[in-house]
Amino acid sequence: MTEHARQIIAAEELPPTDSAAEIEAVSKTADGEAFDPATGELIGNQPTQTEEPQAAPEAPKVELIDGLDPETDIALVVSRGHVNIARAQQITTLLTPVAMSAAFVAVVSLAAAVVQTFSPFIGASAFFYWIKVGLLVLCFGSYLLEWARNRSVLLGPILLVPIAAIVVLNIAQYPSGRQLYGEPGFVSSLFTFDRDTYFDLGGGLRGGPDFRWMADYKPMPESLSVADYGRLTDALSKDIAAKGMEAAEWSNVAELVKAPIITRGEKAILEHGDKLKTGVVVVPHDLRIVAVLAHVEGKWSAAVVGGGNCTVLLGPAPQGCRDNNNPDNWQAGDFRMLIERFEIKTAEAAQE
Amino acid sequence: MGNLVTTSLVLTDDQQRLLKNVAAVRMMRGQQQTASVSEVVRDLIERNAPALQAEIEGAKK
Repeated sequence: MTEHARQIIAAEELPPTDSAAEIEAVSKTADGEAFDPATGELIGNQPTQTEEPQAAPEAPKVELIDGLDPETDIALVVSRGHVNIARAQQITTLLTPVAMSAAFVAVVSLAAAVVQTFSPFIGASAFFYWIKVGLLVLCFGSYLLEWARNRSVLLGPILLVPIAAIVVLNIAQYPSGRQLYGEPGFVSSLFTFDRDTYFDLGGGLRGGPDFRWMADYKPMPESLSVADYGRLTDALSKDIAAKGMEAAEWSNVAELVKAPIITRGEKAILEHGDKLKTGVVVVPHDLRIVAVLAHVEGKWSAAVVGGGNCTVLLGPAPQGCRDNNNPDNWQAGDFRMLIERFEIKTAEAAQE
Repeated sequence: MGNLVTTSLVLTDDQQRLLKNVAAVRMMRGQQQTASVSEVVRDLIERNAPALQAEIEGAKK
């Protein structure tokens, strides 16, 4: 360690100080009392020199010109518009969060509608639904919070009804064919994106978005038995062979205990969807063959009958009918053909 | 029947609709197992094979 030489000089040996130095040498204690370092004696409180408060100059009296509002116009003139800008900024600050939160609700709802339009598959998924509802509830909560915080008496109540309506309508639009909550497989179903088995169409049948309408007409236990179904297809086959396509003259069908409804493709589901439990017979304009849609033993069933032939495309096959079921690929094959060929309108097609 | 290969045909709307309708009707009558347009086209070629073959023979020297 380096040793620094120091020369210690006693205070008495110091040379006399000049007046300015003396003033500096007068130190103050913590209490504000001064003492002389030379003598070590307190020299009493030194009055702090303060300046006399100067009286504010009197503002020149200005005579107001008629029509000038001193609150705004003069401020505008004096501040060259800055005051009004500040006022506008303050109003914007108060209103913007409320308006922005409300706008977010509208934007989320609009974006969801766009997605649903361009991608029915994603739009109808439960995952998408929960994301949408989550965002809407978040935005709506933010709106209520901002309203309460800013006390926006103007925008808050005006926007409440439309914004709440958007949120409620979106929440009510739960995709049909989906489990709402609580049932086994609910959580895993949220992340299931196999389009061919995504929707529960009832009766153990699962399908993609093209056949989602079937979920709105799920088969119930009270439906045709296979024997009743067989009687129906048999009666149709006999009547078509004997009377052609004049449905009014179909005597065998008329005698059935569980009589089906006979209709055209455009009304088959949309108007008579509730009669699937006793069978809906679809008569085309140009063929001597009819289609039969029905709920048989709680399952979906579709068949074509005519020309002495009965072919079941979907569901249980009664005696006398050819079983053309293709369980692995029922959506791509003959059932799709039946819906298209017999011009069977579904709810989705009617909305277009 | 030989090996089946997948091909694509450029058809008009009417032609495609016609083939699909024929396939549907054949399936519904029980003539075909499924409403397969491919099966209709195969049948069409099969039945016209002699005439098509004769056309090729006629072009040879």
